[in-house]
Amino acid sequence: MNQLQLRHVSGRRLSSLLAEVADTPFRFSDEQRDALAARFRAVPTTQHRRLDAWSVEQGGAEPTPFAWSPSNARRSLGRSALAAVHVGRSPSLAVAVRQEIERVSDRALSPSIPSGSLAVWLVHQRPAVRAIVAAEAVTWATETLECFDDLLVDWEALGSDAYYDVAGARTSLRGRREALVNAPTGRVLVRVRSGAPGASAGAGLRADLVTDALANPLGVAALRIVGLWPDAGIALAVDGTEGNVKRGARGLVRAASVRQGATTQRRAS
Amino acid sequence: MISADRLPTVMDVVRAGRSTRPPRDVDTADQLRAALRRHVPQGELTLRARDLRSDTLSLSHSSLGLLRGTLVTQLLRLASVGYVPQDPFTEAVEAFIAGDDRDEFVQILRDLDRDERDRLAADVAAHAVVLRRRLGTIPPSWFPRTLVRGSVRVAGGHVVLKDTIDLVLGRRVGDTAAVALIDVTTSPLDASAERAGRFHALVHTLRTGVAPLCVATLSTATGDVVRLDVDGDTLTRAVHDVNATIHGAVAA
Repeated sequence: MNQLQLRHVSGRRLSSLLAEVADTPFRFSDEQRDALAARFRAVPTTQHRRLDAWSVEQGGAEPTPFAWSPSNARRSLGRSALAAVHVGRSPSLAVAVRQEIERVSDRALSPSIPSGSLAVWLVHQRPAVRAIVAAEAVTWATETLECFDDLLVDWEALGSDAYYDVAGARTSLRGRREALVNAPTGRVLVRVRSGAPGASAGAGLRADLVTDALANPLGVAALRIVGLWPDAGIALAVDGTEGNVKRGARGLVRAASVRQGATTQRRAS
Repeated sequence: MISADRLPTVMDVVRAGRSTRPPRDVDTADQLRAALRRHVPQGELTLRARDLRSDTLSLSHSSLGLLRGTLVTQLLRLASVGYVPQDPFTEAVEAFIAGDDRDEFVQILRDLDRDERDRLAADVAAHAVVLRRRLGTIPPSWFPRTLVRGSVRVAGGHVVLKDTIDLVLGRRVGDTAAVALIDVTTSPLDASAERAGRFHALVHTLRTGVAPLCVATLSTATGDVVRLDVDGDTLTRAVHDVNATIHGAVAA
């Protein structure tokens, strides 16, 4: 099925998104990987570019300069805390977040830590700001946990996103993912976003789907990727079919192309 | 005479009646969504809890009043993770600016002269005392989360119900209703607080598919705490409030 599926968030409806999944997901062959890399190489770039679902949803718009803040630190810290609680390594999300903040802050002492890292930012913050960071992370992790429990199936918290560097194209792809559900015939990915899904949410989901497939050592796509928007109470899903994977790949190449066009235009003016 | 310290805290109020909680309601959300299709405006309409509050302009609605409310919310967030500020105003400002230094209130804060800033600091400090005394200690095992946002489309997608709950406690899994929504306001409570409470319950139910147990509102102006138990009637009245507001907008 290549269509986007939509559900209001509630236990019964979410679990239905996991009950009826395709049997055979798409699998990238070496030739298909090479062909995709050639398409990215055809879009020249003077510097390394990073593309993700957000770039696709924004039509290739240049990302604004990144700066750490409590709200953009929450996912990194909250995700680790969620995983720690889920496997029983920590008694509560509040404790897990506190431990994660301490662990990350300790890394700031390492001479090899980049100056723009979360660790360096955290250790330079006042105690009240670190407490707000903790509040943000606990909130994110708890709301995410609530959503995952609505899935009514066993899930595995994923500690990292999917990354794929396109050979010879100076292009890194990042696919967001928060949890994995192992179905009898393959993987179902779950991704969580804040806010409400817009008109390009499906294109974003397909971008995450294709990046995860490329990052998979066997090139196998997930059976389905489910996007959860807890703020809006909405879940969207796309299947790991050839059609969806190809549309996802086209979206990423288009985003690279639009961004390159904008860069060229800016330089010309 | 009962001293203010002996009055029940928000945590006491939320904890009350643990043995008689209603079963978890997962069926009402669809009915509410259907009932909200009655009036469909042309174009898009956004409704927030404040649209249902009384129209009276007060200090709480002025820039300084809103800024004070924002800073008190930061203190609530600090309390949610067990942080006790030594200097409530300074630390609330630090926490607020770290969150979003482009926020319009940050500019208002920076533009205050010394006298205005000291008055605001004294005001926030007084609200912080009431918050500390009347909130109670938030147990981490109650899964506290703060500034929980909702943005739910109803009426065929033409109306967006937007809401932010200051503090949410409890989980929606389990056999009985267990989620408490806490609203902290720096204004005195009036009849419109109940309407706002119903709106919070409605948006939460539509967003999560599960009705909350109750909505508790604390006024840090007076120390008053009220609890609104959420049932089918509460949610029906919330739909009526929203439909009446949409109808008013359509008629205008």
